[in-house]
Order: sequence, then structure tokens, then C-alpha cells
Amino acid sequence: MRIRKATIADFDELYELGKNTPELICSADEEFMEAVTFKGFITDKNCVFLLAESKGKIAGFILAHTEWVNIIAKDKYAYICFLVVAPEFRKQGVATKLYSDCIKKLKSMGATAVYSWANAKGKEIIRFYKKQGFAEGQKYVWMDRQL
Amino acid sequence: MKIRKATINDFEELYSLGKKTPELRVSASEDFMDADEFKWSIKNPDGIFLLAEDKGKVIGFVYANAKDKDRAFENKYACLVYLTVSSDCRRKGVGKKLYLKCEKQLKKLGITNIYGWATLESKGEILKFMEKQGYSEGHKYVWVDKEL
Repeated sequence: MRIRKATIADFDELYELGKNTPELICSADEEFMEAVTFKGFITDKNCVFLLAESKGKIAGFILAHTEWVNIIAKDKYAYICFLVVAPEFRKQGVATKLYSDCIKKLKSMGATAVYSWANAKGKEIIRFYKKQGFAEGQKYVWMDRQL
Repeated sequence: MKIRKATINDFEELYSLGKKTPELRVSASEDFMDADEFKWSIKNPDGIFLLAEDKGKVIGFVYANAKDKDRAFENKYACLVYLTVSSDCRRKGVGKKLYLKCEKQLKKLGITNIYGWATLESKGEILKFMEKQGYSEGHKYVWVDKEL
């Protein structure tokens, strides 16, 4: 298994994996992030977008935003937007590898703190973050509406 | 009661109200947004930050970040970051007035969708309020954070 930077050529496979991962869905009305937005993050220099690949197949990916870049704040917070591993590649340390490479990169870019929203139903993801030293905060529900 | 744009001169009063509102707390390690980021939010050129004042006192505020407004996305999302009313001024329509004015200004900026995270730790008042404003309830998430 190898971790590398995602490129635009990986878009179809990455997006498919995102769409097939129900834990990533926030909204009641929408299935997954819009394709154009997702694509934008692959090339955004203020994002860290890494993937894990095994035998030519994408096993998982991580997307983090360097939110502090556009904000003036005491802590330089990065936001982990997605951390996903395909079901057949779970329990093999893929997420840990993706996460630690991503954090390394974020730190080199200046991050001093990191946060994420973990699906409240995803016991595994919450356990994962706690193992990485995250503190569990409050529970929220996503609400959205069209104008 | 008057709704107006917040300015940096309102910082102390706004920040003190934010800190006193337990429903705005997300993290286990920090009780509220840090002061510098809050100040930045008041001045955010892509944001709408309004306050409600009554007899010279700040009784509520709303903050939405419309950072998608200049992006080439088909759907331009704004995030409703804060909507808060001082506990002694609730049930008088302050939240609604703040919210509606904010929504109107977001529309003018070309925003097509709004989202926000509603706390599940309170009695569900904010959830009910947002449903009344036409929001649909999505999935539940837990905030996690750590220092690096």
C-alpha cells in the first residue's frame, strides 16, 4: 500500500468512493458533495488531498483544509473534511497511514491544531480519532436549506 | 429593538455574549471561538455579521460566512456559524429578525444554499427554529479536535 498526493486523474475513482461511503453524508437532501466542488479540492493548494492505493486500486483518501490560511486566529486550525477507507480495506491500518501523512504535511504548512466532524453513528471513526488523541466535543446535527 | 451591522467597536459586548452562551460551545478543550478569530469574523469581507440591540445593549447576533460567493460553483453555500440571543431576551422574535435579515443579505450576495450545525445539547430550540425557517434535518456529527 502506498500513500500519495491525489491528482485530477484520480477524480472519478475518488468521487465514486466518496459517493459509496454513507458515513460521509451530512445532508438529508443531497447524496454527496457536488462533483465540481470535490474536483476543486483536488487542485486547491490550500488543501491536503492524499490517497492510499493498493494494487492499482484506491483504498482510501483524506482531505484536509488549511483553514487558518484565510483567518486571523491564535491557533492555526486545519479541518479534516474527509477520511475514508473502502470497506474491503478496513482494519488494515490504512486510515492511520493516511492520517499520519496528512498531519505531517499540515504541520509542515504551519498547522497548530486540527478538528473534524465525526459521524455520530460511526463508532469506529470516533474511536479512531480518540486513539489519535482527539477530544470528543459536542454533538450537532447538520441543517440545510435552499434559498 | 434595532438590527444593524456589527463593527469592531461591538467586539467586547458580542464576545462576552458568545462566551456566555453554552449552546455555542463545540469543543471539549475550548469554551468559545478565540478572540482573534471572533474579531476577524466581525470584519470578514465574505461574511454577514449583524447584531440586535435594545436600549443600547447587544441582545443577540448572527454570523454567516459566505466564502463561496465568488466561486464558480453552481450551488453557493453559506455557513450559518452563529445565531444567538441573550437568555433574558428570548421568545420575543429577536432570533427570527436577525436570521431573516441575514438571509436576505446572503441572497443579495448570490448565495443559493445555507447550512449550519444545530446543537443537540440544548432543548432542541434551535433545531425547531431552523425547521420553521425551512431547513431539513440531516445527519448527526460529533466535533473532535486536538492540538498538534
